[in-house]
Amino acid sequence: MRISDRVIGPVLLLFGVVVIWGASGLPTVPGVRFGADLMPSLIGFCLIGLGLSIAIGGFASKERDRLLDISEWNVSLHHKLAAIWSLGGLILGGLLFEDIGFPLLGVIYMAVLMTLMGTRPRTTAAVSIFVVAALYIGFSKGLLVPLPAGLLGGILP
Amino acid sequence: MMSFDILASALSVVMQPAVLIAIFFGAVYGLFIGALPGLTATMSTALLVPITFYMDPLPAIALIVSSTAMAISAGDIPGTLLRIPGTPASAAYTDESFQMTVHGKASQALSLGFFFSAMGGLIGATVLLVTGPLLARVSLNFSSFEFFWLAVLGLLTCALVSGSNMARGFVSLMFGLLIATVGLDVTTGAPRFTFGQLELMGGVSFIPVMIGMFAFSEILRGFTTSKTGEQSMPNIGKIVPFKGIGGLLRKYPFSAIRGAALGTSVGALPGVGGDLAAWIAYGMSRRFSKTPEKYGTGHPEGLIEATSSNNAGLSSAWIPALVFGIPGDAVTAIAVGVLFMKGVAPGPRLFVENPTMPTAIIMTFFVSNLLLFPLGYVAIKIARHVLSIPRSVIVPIILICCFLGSYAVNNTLYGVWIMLIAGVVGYLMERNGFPIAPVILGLVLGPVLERNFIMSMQITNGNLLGFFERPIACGLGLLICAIFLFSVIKSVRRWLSGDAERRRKALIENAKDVAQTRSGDA
Repeated sequence: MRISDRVIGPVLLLFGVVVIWGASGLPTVPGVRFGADLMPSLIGFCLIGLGLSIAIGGFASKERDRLLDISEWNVSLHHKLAAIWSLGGLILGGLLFEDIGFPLLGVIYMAVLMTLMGTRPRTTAAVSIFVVAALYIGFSKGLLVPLPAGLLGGILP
Repeated sequence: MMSFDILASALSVVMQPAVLIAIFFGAVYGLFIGALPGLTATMSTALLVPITFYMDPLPAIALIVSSTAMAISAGDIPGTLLRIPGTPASAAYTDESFQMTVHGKASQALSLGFFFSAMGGLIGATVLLVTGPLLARVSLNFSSFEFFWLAVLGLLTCALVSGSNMARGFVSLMFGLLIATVGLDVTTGAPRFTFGQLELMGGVSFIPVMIGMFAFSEILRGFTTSKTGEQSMPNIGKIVPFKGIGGLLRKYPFSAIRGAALGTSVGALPGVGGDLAAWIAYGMSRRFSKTPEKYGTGHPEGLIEATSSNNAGLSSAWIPALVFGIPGDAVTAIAVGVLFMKGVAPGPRLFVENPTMPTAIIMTFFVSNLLLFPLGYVAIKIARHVLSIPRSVIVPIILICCFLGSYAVNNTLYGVWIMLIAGVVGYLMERNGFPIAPVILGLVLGPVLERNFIMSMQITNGNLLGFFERPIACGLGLLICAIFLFSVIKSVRRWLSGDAERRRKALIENAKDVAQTRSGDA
């Protein structure tokens, strides 16, 4: 996904202004001349300068590229869905993590993604169950990371 | 030079089962990750960090050291057999090694890759062992001014060499530094950009940011290249590991040494790291070769020099990280972060107060590089089988590991959300020519830079000329000013000559190519 410098430059410039504005509101300590606002303010000024330089380069360019170019996503529907699921599935997983639990969510997430990427059903089932089981045991029992068992709480050790 | 007692003590620590197991596990893991196209050494390191939570400092660092050394070496496998560089470092000579495969010399190409990587790594580790304590002794006299300039030097060079566009490198750096300001201020203790969120009080954890930017964004990029289709492997013939290496060593004795020396020098520069070393070494080898016309046709000379420099640079990148606490590249930035998490502050004081620790870390380089010989043998034997594991199986496993690794940071979903945001931002950044490494370096070095900057400003009462009053600080400051001015003048001249437009397009095309070559059959 390509974004034109004519967009990136002004966005950076604006972001720099927001950072400086945010830094100016930071609390100061009496008697301390160089406080919490110094570093963010300097970064903000640098972002303004860099944004300006990128914007000038973009506007000065003789060729007018598209403001947003998503031609690289002209891939097969399966790949598009896999990309959406790889991100969306993790967001969904995060939201339902406590209720449904890692083991079930993990298997569903892996199985859907592997299917979308073209893996055969038998391999998908075997790999997703084995990997999630190994990770669940390794993390929750070995490393003592409290992974919620969720719906499988009564079945799993 | 350190005493024999310290060496003996460090060796005994390294020989403990926990450390040796960590080294072995790291090497096998690095071998697997490095051999798979599209998975980089930095990504493998990022995914290891959550596991290091549960380890002592030395096994944790040993795990990172051995996995990186092996991943960099194993990165030659897909480059040699499929013409897809396994890691950015191996991209410099992928065409050459693939040409060797085309000419029926795959076995020799793979063998020399592992052999000379190990040799270069051992030379780099020796330099690290010898120079580390000496430099630490010198830097004991450093004040906030010198540390400020060293941090600036690391950040500046990283921003300059990470991409071909100076402004974009600096934008990445500013993002990293800005993220580092989130949380309680290092000097006054005031909360900054926390938006009332308790979890942000301690700052943005660098682990989910790293996992997101290096691993998750890489996976997202991979989905855009489905058109490349299956990569076919040429007929690689009979594989006999390490056959004919002795002959090559006799024929090109100086290439290996020159590559290792160059890799050590380049890798030791703060902010540069080892990746660049292979490119310079390959170019230099061609320039000094008696048969430059053979380069690009499957000639081993350039390969020897470049692979030697790879691992030598990897070892010497730890010189600024261990001695000054200023990481040289993304991998050492991660390792320094891990050391800080373990309560071990890298820097000159570490060499004085606990000399066994840095020496033991250096020792792990020797063990890891020596392990390259037996594991390299196995890797060469099973190379074609590793490459046959479909990406459709690997990608979901990595994504689940990204989720778990980010969750395990503090056992909440906060890390997962940070990882996902960082992944999407990292993807957008790379697709638009903004390098990732400066973000990570900025994030890790941000507090060091700010602390020393504020302290120096307080000492000089805001007089910037005071930053140049001490001799070493003055030298470093002038060097940085010269590098910066030179880069600015070069960029302006290029822009005025109209070259900038061409380079911008080349940059975007290059980003597309890199994504395609890294992603393989997506």
